[in-house]
Amino acid sequence: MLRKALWDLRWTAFWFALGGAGYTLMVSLFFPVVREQSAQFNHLMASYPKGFLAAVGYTDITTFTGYLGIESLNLFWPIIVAVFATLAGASLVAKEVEDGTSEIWLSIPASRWRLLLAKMTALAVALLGVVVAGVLGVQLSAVLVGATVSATGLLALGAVMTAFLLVIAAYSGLLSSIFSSRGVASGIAFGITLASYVVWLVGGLSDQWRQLKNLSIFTAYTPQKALETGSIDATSLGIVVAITVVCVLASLLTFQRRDAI
Amino acid sequence: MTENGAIVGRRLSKVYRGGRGVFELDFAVREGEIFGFLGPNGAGKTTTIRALIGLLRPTAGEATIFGLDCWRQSPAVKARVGFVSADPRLYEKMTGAAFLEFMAGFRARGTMDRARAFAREFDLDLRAKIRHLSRGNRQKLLLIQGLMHDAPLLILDEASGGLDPLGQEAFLTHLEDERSRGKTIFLSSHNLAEVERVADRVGIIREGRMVAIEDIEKLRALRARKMEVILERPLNTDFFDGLPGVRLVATKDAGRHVELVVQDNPRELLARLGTAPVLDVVFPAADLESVFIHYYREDDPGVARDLVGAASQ
Repeated sequence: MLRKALWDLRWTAFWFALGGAGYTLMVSLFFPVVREQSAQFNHLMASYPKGFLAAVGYTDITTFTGYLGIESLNLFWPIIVAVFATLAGASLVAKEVEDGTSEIWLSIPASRWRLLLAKMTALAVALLGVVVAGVLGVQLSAVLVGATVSATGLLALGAVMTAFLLVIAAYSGLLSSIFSSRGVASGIAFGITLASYVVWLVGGLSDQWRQLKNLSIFTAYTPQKALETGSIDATSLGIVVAITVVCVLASLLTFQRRDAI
Repeated sequence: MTENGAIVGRRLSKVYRGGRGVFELDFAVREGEIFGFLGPNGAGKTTTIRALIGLLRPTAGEATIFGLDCWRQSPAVKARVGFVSADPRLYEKMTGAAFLEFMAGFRARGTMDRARAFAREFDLDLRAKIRHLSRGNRQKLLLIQGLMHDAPLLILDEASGGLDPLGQEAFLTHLEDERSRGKTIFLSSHNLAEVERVADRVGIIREGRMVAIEDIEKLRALRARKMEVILERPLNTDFFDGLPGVRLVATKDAGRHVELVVQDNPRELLARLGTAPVLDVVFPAADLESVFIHYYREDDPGVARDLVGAASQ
């Protein structure tokens, strides 16, 4: 089952991995220009609204990590790959039901939770592939523009990226286990991700609303900081991992008990 | 229901929102028999089968296969079952061979060899992608995956749908072979002719309820057979009066062609016809159509007509 699920995901994962890494690589090629004209760019960025800069995670555009953060890692890379995590997660069960293959799938002599767990494992492996491509894209970008990133920074970046994608895939998968429609499952999952982002954004606009950030998965997604310092916020990352585990267990339990047509 | 069997349903119910489903089904399928499960589309056949293979959780009651609970022990049940779905939708991007190899991967070693042998027997090219297969060839592929692991119980849901007449004949012959090897077969169908041909016993489901379970011979004894009598000259209209189980339904050709329905033993009728100027008698073999009509006609004649139509296809 694992092998088939991996085989089914191979091309989609490949193209999203290439898209995410390729985008990072492409925008990084403009970094030397920004570095050379740092004064003008800093002046330009200061003219943007504070809310907008917070939304895209702006700190300093003239450093490689700051530039990569605002141009790719903080917003665009996660949007690209979150689409993959959501659609693939929402397909775990609902696609079998919609395609009419659930009878065949579930005629396999294995418990339902094992069959679903195999698919989830395949998706996790595919997402890991997307993350590895993303991290390699960052490393390659650094080499091309003559910047330096540490190995611990890349590892920390990989960790926050992985946790971010896994939690999205996990709640998308849970919704797929509950609903028999990919459209419904992915729609709700996109809604949750968007709401989480808005909550994180609002929480960053004022100290008064700072606590809202604790409700968002984006609090644990700190790629720029991870790349710069090689450190992660273990508490927020732990919470995201815990949410992932709870969603996975809830998916398995739900699927084990529901009618599968 | 206390009787043991390969499949046992005890007050098995699955009720959907809206009130449709199957209700309190009590039945037992004996080991080594072919059990025909008859009913028109929408009667509850597929729902029953989905409960048997653990796709649907019963609302009440239970079903067991070889003593194993179909819901709680579903993996063990499926290890003992070859299942052929009524739905020919499969993994479209796979080739037939890749699909069978995938399914065989969950079964004992040697399963794929049997699958290839079946493919040769059914004249199916396994190299083609499933999305390019005709309805009939998809059905063959489904049949092969149901048969390839030599399971002691076969659950077949409208399994001959889409097969051409030669394919249907090969399918029925294969079922008889499997029975002779001791297999138990649960054959769900709305095709009376195929069930009549191979089944030992028949269960008839109507609007989600099991209305009869009988040996096929006993069911045939319930039949109301049609007899056509060709005469040299017309008879008096009261000629058939007083004969038990005989009803005159039509006369044609100025009374020289008579159609009768015969419910019981025709001995007295034949004796009386011996006194008449008979040129020919057509008295076809018993079939299940009339039995079906017996169970369906009283308050839903439309269903009976559908069944007869399906049987003649």
